[in-house]
Amino acid sequence: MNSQTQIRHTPTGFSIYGYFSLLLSSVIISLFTHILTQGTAALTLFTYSLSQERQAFHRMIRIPVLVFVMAVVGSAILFPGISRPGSETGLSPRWAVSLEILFKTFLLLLSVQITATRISASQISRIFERLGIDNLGFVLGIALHMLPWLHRDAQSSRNAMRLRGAFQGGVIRLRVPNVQRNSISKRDRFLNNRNRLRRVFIMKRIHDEIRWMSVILQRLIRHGDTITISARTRGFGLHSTPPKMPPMRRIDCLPLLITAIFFWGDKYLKLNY
Amino acid sequence: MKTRNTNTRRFVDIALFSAIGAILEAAFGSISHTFRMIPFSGLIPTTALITVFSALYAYRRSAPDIMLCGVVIALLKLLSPGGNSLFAISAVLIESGLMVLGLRILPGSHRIGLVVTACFVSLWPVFQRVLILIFFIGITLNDVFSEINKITVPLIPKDATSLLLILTMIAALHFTSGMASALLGWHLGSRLNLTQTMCPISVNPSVEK
Repeated sequence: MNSQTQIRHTPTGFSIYGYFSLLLSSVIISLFTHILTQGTAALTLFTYSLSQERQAFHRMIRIPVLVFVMAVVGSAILFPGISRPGSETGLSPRWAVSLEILFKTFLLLLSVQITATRISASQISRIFERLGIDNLGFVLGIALHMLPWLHRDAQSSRNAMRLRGAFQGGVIRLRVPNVQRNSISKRDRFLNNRNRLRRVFIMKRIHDEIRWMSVILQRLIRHGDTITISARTRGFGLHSTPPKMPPMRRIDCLPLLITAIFFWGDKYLKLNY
Repeated sequence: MKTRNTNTRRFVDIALFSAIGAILEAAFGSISHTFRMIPFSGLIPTTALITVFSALYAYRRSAPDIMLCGVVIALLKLLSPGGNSLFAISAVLIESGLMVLGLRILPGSHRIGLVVTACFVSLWPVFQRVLILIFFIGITLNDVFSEINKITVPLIPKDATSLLLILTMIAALHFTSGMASALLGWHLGSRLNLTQTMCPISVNPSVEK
């Protein structure tokens, strides 16, 4: 997502439209096709990433990602719910649902990683600008950029708060001694009781969590100041020339063509979504 | 030369809140969509979404921003593992639309308007779940109620299994969560206004006591 990735030679000859159509194809397949088609598409993308996009593949295979995927798939096995039975596959509902989630996750995460490796946020913004929805592209580009920053910042601020005594629980002492009750004023007694209530474990925990959210939001807004200043400096919101984009190639349509073949296969084999 | 009359700060703020909403939707949505058997699991991402929308509204005081925020969250949710179903995407869009509509109708500049809107918006997952069960999976309304009854019976007293009571409890649960999330969002968004006036908030929770 930096300037180096923009000028990197793409092995398949895709331009940014090609990678965008790859992402679009993955979304379409994961939304509208049968589990068998999703599995085939995931296998195709896996082969492609192993041969051409190894960097994206290695970025996807990380322990937190795998743990998250396993948690989601495992909960689908345990709680299948009311869902499509997956009769063509001969699988029970719980296995059909869990495999569907696994294929979708693999397909989407890998295509997102490949696209993020090859396309920068400003190029995404430009694609939307060419479609005539420049504001949406601008917002989407910034939001995509903010996702890893948010993850890091949330973790660092939580660690900082924990080191200073937050999220540690508290002492349960609700009764006020009689001596204090007679000696302090009514307002001070109210404030004292409120502080005591905050020391109760759950109240303090909730209080700390809300404070943590507040810290994240404030740091985010301050980061937004930087983004706004830099965006204004670069000409967003002012007079600007239409962005120059590379021409679309024939090979860019390949992912969409493969998606169309998958759709035809779905219809030919009469697989019901 | 092309002129674009855009308010950069406005779009940056929408992008920042959309990023938070997308993360929450991706995390909670993935979990809730796997727990399809529990009819109230859609409440969790909806509550998170209402909190983000309320914070954005309390910060910007502009209802249309919520709609754009919802669109961006829906687009980002398309790329998440558990949120890639049309129903999940449509839920985000409809909830943001209902939020805007409610804030247009009710006196939105007041906190009560936001809370009342959030209470009604938080009921949308139940409506959507029932509609999906009836129109897409092919279950009748009686089956839906018996399914809900079967799940909720262990949670309520044995002598109070009437349908009206169950529906009231579900509505009360959603109303309460909607109210709490709206108040939390309002609280967070209002504190951001304090940041703009250079009024710092302590990071250290123990200092304030």
